[in-house]
Amino acid sequence: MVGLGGGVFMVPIFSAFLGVPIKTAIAASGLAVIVGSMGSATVYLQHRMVNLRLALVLLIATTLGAIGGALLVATAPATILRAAFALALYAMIVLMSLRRASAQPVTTGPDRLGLRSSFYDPAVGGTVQYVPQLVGIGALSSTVAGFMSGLLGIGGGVVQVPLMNVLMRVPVKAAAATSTYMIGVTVVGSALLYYANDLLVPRVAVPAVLGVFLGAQVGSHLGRHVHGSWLRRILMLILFYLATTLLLQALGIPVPGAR
Amino acid sequence: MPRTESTVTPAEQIDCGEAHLGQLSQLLARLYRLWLGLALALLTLGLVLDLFEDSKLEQATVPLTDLPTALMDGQPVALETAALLFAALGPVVGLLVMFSACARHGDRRTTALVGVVLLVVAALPIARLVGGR
Repeated sequence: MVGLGGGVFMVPIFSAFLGVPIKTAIAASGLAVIVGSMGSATVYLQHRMVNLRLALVLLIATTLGAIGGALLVATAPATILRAAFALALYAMIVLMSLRRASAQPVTTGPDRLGLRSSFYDPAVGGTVQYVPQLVGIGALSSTVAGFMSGLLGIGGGVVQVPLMNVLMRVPVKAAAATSTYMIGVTVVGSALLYYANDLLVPRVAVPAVLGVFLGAQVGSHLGRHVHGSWLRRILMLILFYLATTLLLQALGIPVPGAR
Repeated sequence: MPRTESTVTPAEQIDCGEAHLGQLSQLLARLYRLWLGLALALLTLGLVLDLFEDSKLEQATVPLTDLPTALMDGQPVALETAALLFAALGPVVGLLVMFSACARHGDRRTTALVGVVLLVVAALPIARLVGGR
């Protein structure tokens, strides 16, 4: 409904309120993120909005970052993970509160990697063409999105979409579509590592995967009828509450209702 | 047998055109839809069988080395583990399809890119899966 993926809500709710160990919650969330990404990507792929070649270039960086993050999950103390998740949620709130002006796409110029692409945008009633800029810097910065994804079991789209739009001048719809496709591939390596490290628990992962899939179906229909700015404000409040709960728990301060 | 003339120009042999990448996108969309349907059906079946067996879900997945035997024994947790792995591998199958399509089309650049991504995705987790469990 809001394009954040289920992980940003699932991990803190499972961990802080349902008593699920945070590493188990991260692993379940990672798998749910793959399923959610595949479900959403089918629509974008069908409408040819995903820039496949750009996705491949960035995926090398995001996947390496994600594997690095997933390796840390197995060894990092739970309190550190809780604090890291809380800080990531605060950063997301800041990103959501910024009113970003969408960067204008660059349509001409050198394109050594052949990343030029176009898609039909019904909102403008025509085809939008673009040539991604600063690909090297974009790829390096994508490692951060991948690392967050592997470490925290979240999609990373909240970092990847602004990065592609503002830095690489990819139109926001193409950036969202390409990021959605990338998330699924990015998390595969982490998910297999979670499994190898015994962090994948069916009792948590099976309901999480089914729940995220059903929730995404309901959310994508509901999202069209809810006013965007109000929805964003409510979500920011919820994220703030979850982030603060996790941070207090990481600091050893008891929170009413939390475990 | 008469040889047919190739309609692909040298420039197209080096790179997939946007039209080909568009077709590839639609192929991936169909593959993802089918893969998700199968994964969720398997997962639901495992969940139902597990709940019928002892009214609760398992605490641990089945290690990869024991998975074939556990599946043959009809253990619900094995079905759940297989379904979770099946779902996780969906994007990798998408990459393999892309690799094969671009290689057949002679697009060396995209084929090489997919190859590197596949290598990065697979290398470490497979080493851990084989060595660690």
